[in-house]
Amino acid sequence: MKYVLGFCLAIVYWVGLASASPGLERAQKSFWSGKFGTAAATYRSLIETHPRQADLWFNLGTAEAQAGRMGQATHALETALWLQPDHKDARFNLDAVKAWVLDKALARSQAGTLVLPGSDDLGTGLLSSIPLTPIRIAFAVSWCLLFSCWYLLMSTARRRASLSLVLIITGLVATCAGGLLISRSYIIDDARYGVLLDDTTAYRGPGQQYDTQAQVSNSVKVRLGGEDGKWQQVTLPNGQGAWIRSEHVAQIGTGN
Amino acid sequence: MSVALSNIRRRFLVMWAVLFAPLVGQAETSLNVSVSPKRIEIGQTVTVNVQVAIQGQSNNQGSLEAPSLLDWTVVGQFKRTTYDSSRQQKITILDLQLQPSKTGQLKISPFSLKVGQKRYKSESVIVTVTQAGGQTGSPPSGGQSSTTNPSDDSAPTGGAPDEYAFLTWEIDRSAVWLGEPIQAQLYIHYRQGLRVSRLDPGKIDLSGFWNEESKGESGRAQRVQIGEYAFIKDSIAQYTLYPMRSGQLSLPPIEAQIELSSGGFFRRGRAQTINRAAPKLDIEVRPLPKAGRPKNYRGIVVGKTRLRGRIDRRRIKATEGVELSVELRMEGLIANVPEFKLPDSPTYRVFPSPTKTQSIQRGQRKINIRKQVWLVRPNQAGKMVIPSLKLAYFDPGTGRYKTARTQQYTVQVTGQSQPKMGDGSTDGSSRKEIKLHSIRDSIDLDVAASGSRTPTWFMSVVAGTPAVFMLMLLLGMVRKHRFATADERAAKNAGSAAKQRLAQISKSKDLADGYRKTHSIVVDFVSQRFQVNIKGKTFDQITTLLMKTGVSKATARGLTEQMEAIEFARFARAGDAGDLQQTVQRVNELISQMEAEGQ
Repeated sequence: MKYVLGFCLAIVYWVGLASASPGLERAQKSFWSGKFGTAAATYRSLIETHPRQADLWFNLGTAEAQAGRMGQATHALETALWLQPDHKDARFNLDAVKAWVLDKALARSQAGTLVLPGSDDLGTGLLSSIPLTPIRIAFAVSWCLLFSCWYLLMSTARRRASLSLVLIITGLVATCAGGLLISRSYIIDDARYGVLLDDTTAYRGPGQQYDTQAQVSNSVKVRLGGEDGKWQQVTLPNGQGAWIRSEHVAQIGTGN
Repeated sequence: MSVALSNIRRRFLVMWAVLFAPLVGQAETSLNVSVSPKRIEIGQTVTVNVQVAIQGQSNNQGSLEAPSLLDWTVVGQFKRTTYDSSRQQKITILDLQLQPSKTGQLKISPFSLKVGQKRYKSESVIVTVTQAGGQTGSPPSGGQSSTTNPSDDSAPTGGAPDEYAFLTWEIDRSAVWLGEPIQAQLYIHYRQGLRVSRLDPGKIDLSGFWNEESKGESGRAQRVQIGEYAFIKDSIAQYTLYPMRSGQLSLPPIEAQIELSSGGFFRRGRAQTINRAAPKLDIEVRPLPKAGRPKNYRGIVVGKTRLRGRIDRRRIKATEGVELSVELRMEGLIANVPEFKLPDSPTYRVFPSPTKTQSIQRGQRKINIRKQVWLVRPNQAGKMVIPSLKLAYFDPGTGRYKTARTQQYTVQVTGQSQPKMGDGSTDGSSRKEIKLHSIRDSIDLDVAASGSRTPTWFMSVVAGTPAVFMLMLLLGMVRKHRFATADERAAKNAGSAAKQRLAQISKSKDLADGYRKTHSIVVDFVSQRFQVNIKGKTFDQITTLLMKTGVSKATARGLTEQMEAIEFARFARAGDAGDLQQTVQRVNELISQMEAEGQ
């Protein structure tokens, strides 16, 4: 009986492997043979069925970068990081791609209004300027202290005044830090971001009849706003609002 | 027109009389008028101080009458009233500022104050008005200042070159170094009361100069007194001129058509077109000295110059860059100064941004500003030295060459450098030079990332802390409850505990120890079960205590008898193991009975 069960499990595993891996193997084979465009296309088709696999997005971004499509590469790597923020390889490759785009853009153009990819892509005011980790640490420490003091206050009859004071202070700190975290989650984390796939022109309104706002390099991360037909409202890294044709922008976390 | 003006002045002074009316009383009233200074030049002003002092309060209406001031124009007035309570005196002071309209001995007739039936009069004052020293109305010129003076011409109208309108050049200096900036203004003077409706100076030929016209910075029109007439002086054009060759240069004579009209906006009078010319003005341009000229002096860089550099950070990571901005401020022609270029270095790469140039006006001086910004990115970790930038210039103030410079900046670069990017001209050639981490060969496609950005440790602390807190509270409550019910539980379990201990004794071979333990078990059982202490009590007392707890007399009696037998066997060392077994059995039965009977 156990041999039959083992055989069945082996069959299921083999069927699963056979159904998932051919595309992956084909993509890897294309990549290692230098056909980066083909590899990217194969990864993209795999992503359609596995959109939340961070490694697939990472491989896609790397293949796109090797194929020279930096905007697509940035979008894929940003999505990989969005799915898995501690993906170190994706972080490294994204930095490398951005640095490459920056160098090329600076060497190519001296236009004063050219918006380049940078580390301040999320610059949306005070909340984003406060680093997240210190707030989390402050909240965690004050949270622990708050409950410790509370427990001590309930279980001891000594030094109740001092404990009450510490309890109030830690409660206030926890409230402030928690408020900041909640505000961030509502204001920033809920925001949709996108990546520019090509060098493009940003206008002041949804159409080419409006004045030009800036020339924007590919790989620039923008905050997405509303849409008007084929035009996408974005917030550029320098905080300016602008309109860009939707075909040039890909939302992070989606396939297009 | 002068009659009309005097009427206006009269109305003004009558108005003052009405204003004064409630301030003037009848008790010991005095009126004093003083004028200062008593000798002025045309265009200057005198202050007439009228002081009215009244003793006590008065409700009578009075009036102050001013004399006819036909030769004067009232240009300012000031009034204040004080009350001296110690002297019961109200003092009202009126200051009038008067400007003479002609030269000579001008008389200010007495002021008159009428209170009730009484009339007070002040003394008349004579003021001597002479011709102005400079006569043009322009400020006294300094060492280098040279101003065209219309009164230098033959003056048919007492100083002005024309009765109605004329043009003049004005410059801030007439002898300059090559390239030194000169502020030049073309002015029109026209008679007060007239209006210039059209002015066409034509094209102004300023060959020999690099000229920059300042638009909208000509300032307000001002009134000047030239000779017997008052003119309005208005700027037509303002230039900053940079002489481009040494020797004698001149501002050209300007001939313009001027259309003048009289009357105000709603009362357009006759218009008349006249031709007037501004005389040419010579400027001496000295060549720059060869002595002391630095080797790196290029172009005609003349004028006070300042060079200021700034970097945004002193410590960066190898993957970052510093922004170096250099600001050049100079009074000379900035177009003559070539843009700065950072020297090449193996330690950094330079990415220049657009250069911004602007001009600002500081009083009479025009300051040109050029700002250049570079992004400097390190090639390696360690110290990155950005060298000093220098600019040699000629300072016309001291007549010597000087050098402006920025400081040398040292930037500390930490960490590992950026993956080296290709510098190829096309994407295809350069993309191979990007050093990327390799793709993942093995991917578990069934594992989906959560996309959660909150770290696990944080969630553990947030959820774990209250959980631990609740757990501790729960444990505390349990411990408290157990402590509170310890006696009850001990009473409940006393029988079974005693029987367990008795079972152990039955295996004992030491008879004395067995009896001692049996006695101890009986005492412990009674203490725990009935919460009474029987140590040190007689058997009768024990019987009574047990009966109070609900145990029957027979059982209580049986227990005390058994205890007595145990005591006897224990100390007499009589009997054998079978007796101990029987005793244990008997005690077991008694415990069961007491369990059943007791409360």
